[in-house]
Amino acid sequence: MTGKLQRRKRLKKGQGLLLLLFLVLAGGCWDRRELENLAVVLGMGVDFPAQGEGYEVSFQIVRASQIQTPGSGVGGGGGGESKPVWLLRSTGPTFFEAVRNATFQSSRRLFLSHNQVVIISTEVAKKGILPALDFLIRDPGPRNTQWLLLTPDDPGQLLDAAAGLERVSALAITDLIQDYHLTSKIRPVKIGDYVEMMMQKTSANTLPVIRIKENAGKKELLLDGTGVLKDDRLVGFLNYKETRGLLWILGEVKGGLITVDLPGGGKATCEIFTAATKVKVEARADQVHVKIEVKVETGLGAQTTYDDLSTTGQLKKLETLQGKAVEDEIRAALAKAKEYKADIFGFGEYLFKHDFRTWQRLQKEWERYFVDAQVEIKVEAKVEGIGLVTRPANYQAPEE
Amino acid sequence: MFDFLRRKLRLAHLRKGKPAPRTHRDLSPDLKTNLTAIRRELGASPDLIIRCLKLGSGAEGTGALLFIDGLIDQQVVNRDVIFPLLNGVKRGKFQDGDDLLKYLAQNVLAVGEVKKEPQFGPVVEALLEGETILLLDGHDEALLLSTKGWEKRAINEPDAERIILGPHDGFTENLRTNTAMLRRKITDPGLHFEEMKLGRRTRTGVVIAYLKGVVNEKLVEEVRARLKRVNLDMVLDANYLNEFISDAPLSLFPTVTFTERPDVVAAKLLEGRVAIFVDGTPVVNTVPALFVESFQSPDDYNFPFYYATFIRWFRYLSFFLGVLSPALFVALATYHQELIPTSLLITINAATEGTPFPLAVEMVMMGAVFEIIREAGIRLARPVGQTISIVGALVIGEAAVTAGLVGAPTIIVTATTAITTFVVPDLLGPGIYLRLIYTILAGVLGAYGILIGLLFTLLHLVSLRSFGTPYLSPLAPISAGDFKDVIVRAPIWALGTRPRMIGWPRPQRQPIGFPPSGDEGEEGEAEDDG
Repeated sequence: MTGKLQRRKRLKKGQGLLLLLFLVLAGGCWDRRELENLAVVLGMGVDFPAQGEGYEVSFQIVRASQIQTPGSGVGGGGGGESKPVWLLRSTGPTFFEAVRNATFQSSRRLFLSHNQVVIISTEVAKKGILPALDFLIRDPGPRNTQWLLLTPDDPGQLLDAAAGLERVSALAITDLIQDYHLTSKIRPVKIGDYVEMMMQKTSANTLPVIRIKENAGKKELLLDGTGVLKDDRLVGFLNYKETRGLLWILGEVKGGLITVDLPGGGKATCEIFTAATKVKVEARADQVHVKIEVKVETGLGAQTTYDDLSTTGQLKKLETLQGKAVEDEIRAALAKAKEYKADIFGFGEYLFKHDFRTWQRLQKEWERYFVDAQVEIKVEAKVEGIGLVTRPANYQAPEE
Repeated sequence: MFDFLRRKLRLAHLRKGKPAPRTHRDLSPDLKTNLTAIRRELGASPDLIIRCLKLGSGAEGTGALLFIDGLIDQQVVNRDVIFPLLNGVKRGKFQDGDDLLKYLAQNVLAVGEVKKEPQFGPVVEALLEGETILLLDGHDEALLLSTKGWEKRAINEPDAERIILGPHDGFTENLRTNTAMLRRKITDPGLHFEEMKLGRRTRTGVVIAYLKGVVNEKLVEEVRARLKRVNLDMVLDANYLNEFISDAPLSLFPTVTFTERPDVVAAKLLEGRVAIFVDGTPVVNTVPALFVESFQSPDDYNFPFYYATFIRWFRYLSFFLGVLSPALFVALATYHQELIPTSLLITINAATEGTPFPLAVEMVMMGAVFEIIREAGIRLARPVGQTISIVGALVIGEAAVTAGLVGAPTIIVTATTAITTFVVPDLLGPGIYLRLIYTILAGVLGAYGILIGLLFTLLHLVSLRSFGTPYLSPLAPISAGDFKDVIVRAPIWALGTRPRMIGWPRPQRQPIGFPPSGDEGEEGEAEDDG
C-alpha cells in the first residue's frame, strides 16, 4: 500500500520535472533580440510620397555609438560621420508596410517602442490622421505617449534639422513640447489623447504645429501655434494668442505671461501663478449659452515705465487690464473656432454629459448652434506679488 | 526531485558496514602487563610519557603515571600529583586493610576530578583526552586524574561576523571555554548542557545547550535523536553535523544556522532555540533556522531601532538585488527593451555595441570570473592577495571593456551583485546558485523565466522545514506578531514575545507596554507553567 503510494508520488515528481522542462523549452528564446541588433527609433514623420500611393515614413534612428556618453571620450577621431542619428525614409501602401519595408535599408530591425514623436505633414493631416496612424495605435509596440505634431514642411527634413542643444531632434522636440507650461501657448497632444478625443461627441481636435526656421543658413526647429482638426482632418490653424485662449477655456493654462498696455503708455508683464476655469454650457430655446469663468493669480514680473505700480489703485488697474487681456485671448480663440466651425472646446461634450436630452435635440445641427453660441466671459485676475522691487529705483512721488 | 540521489546515498551508506567494536578487556593486576598493553595500543608515540614512581612514606607500593605530553597541565601534574605521591601522607594514617586507591584519591591527590576505572578501553580513551592515569602494581584498577590543559587560542573577534557595536568576543576552539562564555551571558540555572562524543575515531565532544523552561522539550529530544544517528568517523567542524542533521540535506538553503558569537547564541537560546557546540571549532550550530534569521545581525539590537530597521531593509534589498539584478538586466536588455527608459537604453546600447557574445553569456561569464577572483583572494597568502585585486580590477574590468569583449553595463551589474551578496553572508551559497539559475532562465525566457524561477524557489522555500518549524515563518505561515523583528526592528521594549513558531511553550519574555516601564504585569513566566 505505502509502496504504491510512494510510487505514485514519485511519478508525479517526474511529471513535474517534465512539465518544467517543457515550460522552459517551449518558450524557447523566440522573442530574444540582442540590444545591439536593434535600431532604436526616436522620431517618425509621415508624409505622402512624391509619386505613387501610400505613405512615406521617415525614421529617426539613433546611432548609439555616436552619442557621446561621459567617459567614452575616445571616440573623437571617428571621422566625418559623427551625426548621432540616421534618417531613414521608407514608403509603403500603409504605415505598417512602410515600417516593414525599412528592413530593405536598415541592417537592424526597427524598434518603435521608444519612439517619442510622430510628425505629420499637413498634407496627410488634411486627408485624415487616423488612417495614417492606425498601425501606431493598433500595434502593441509603439506607445500611447508619443507626441503628435503637425508640420507644414517635409517631416523628414524637419527631423533632420539641427536640434539646438540636444543631439537628437526628436528628443529636442519632446523637450520643447513639454515646456509648454512656461508659455501656455502650445497645446501638447499625445497619440493616446488624440484617439480618446476622437471618441468624443464633437470630435474637433487640435495638434501643435512645428516647422523649420532658417537661421543663418541652418535649419532649426520652431513650435508655431496649433492646427485645428475637424473630424480627423486639418481645417485651419490657431496662432499663439488663440492657442492660449483655447487653453484658458480648457482650463489647461499652467503658467505663462500676460502682457498689458498701461494707460499712461508702456507695458507691464505678469507671470501666471495659478489659473482655474469653470465652464458652463446651457441651451435655452434655440440658443446655446456658454459661461466661462476664469480665475487667475499673477505676479508682476516686468514693467517698462517709471511709474509705481505697487499701489493698491495701480494694482487694481493692472488686474482689470489683465482680465481684459485674458478675455481678449478667449474671444480670439472663439472667433477662430467659430470660423472653422470646429468645437475644439468640448462644449458639445459638456452638453452630452450634463444635459443629454438637450444634446440629443441639438446634436444634428450642433455646428450651427456652436457658431451661434452666446458666450459670457468673466475673468477675475489678481496680482499676488510684485517681486523683489516695489517701484523703480529712481521713482519720485509726484508732489502734491 | 532528489530521490535518485537520495537512494544512491542510502545504498552507499549501507555498503560501509558496521565498525568493529572496541574490545572490553579488564586491567591486569600486574603493572608491567598493563604498561606493555598500553604501549602496544598507542605505538611508540613519543608524546606518551610513563613516569614510574615509588609511593612515599605512609603507604607502600610502586606505580606509574601515564599522560600525553601537551595534553596535560605540567604544573598540575608536578605539583598536585607527583609531589604528594612521592612525599606520602601527612594527615590520616593509611591502614593495611584499606583500599590503597581510595585512600590516595581521598587523601593524597590534589586534583579536582578523580575516577576509578577497571577496564582497559576507557583508560586509553581518558589518556588520549588529556587525563593522567595512575596505575599501581597489584591493583587491577586505574585512577583517572583530570589534569587536562593545553595551548589555547585567545578569545578573538570572529573575522566572519564583524559588528560595530556590542560585545567583540568570539568562541574559540575549546569546548569548555565556549560553554563557559555562554554561562557568562546567561546566569540561569535553566541553562543545561548535554554532552556526547561523536565521531568514531575523533571522539569529538559535542554539547547540546538549551534553556530549560523556555525551550520546547520535544525540540531537544529531536536534536538529541538526530545527533545520536550521526555515524561519522570524524567530526572536525560544526558543519559535519550540520549536513548530517539538517531537514533537507539537499536543499540550497541552510536549515541549520551557525555563528561564532556567544551573544548570538545566547539570544537564540533565549528565543527557545537549541545550540550545538562542537569541540575543536569556534562555530556553533543553532536550530531551528529560519529564512529571516539570515537578515538579522547582532548590530540590529545594538543600534537605535530607527537605524536598525533602515539597515535591515537595506539587507533585504541587497539580497534581492544580488540574486536578481543580473537576471533582470538580461531579461530587460534582451526581451523587454521597451521597459528601459529611453536615454538609459541608448546609453546601454552604446556601451554594448559590438560585443561578441549574447548578454546572458556575458553575464554568466563575468559572474564566473568574479567567483574565481573571490576564491583566489580568500585562498592566497595575504601579501599576494593585492595582486588579485589589481588583476581583477584592471585586466577583467578595464581591459575587457576597452577591448570590446564585454559591455560596461555587464561589469557594473556584476560588481553590484558582488558587493550586495556579501551583505547577507549566510545566504551567500544559495545566492550564487539562484543568481546563476535566474540569469540562465532570463536569457532563455526573459521576465517570464525569472518568474518561473522565483515561483519554484518560493515553492521550495514554503515546503522547507527546520526541525519542524516552517522555514519561511513568520512570513509563511504568517504570524503577524513576529513581524516586529522581521519587517522592522521594533524597539527592545516592544519585543516582548518570543517568535511564535519557536518560543511557543513560553511566549512571553517580559511585560510589554508603553511607555517602557515594566511596571504592569508580573513576569510572563508564571502564566503558563506546565
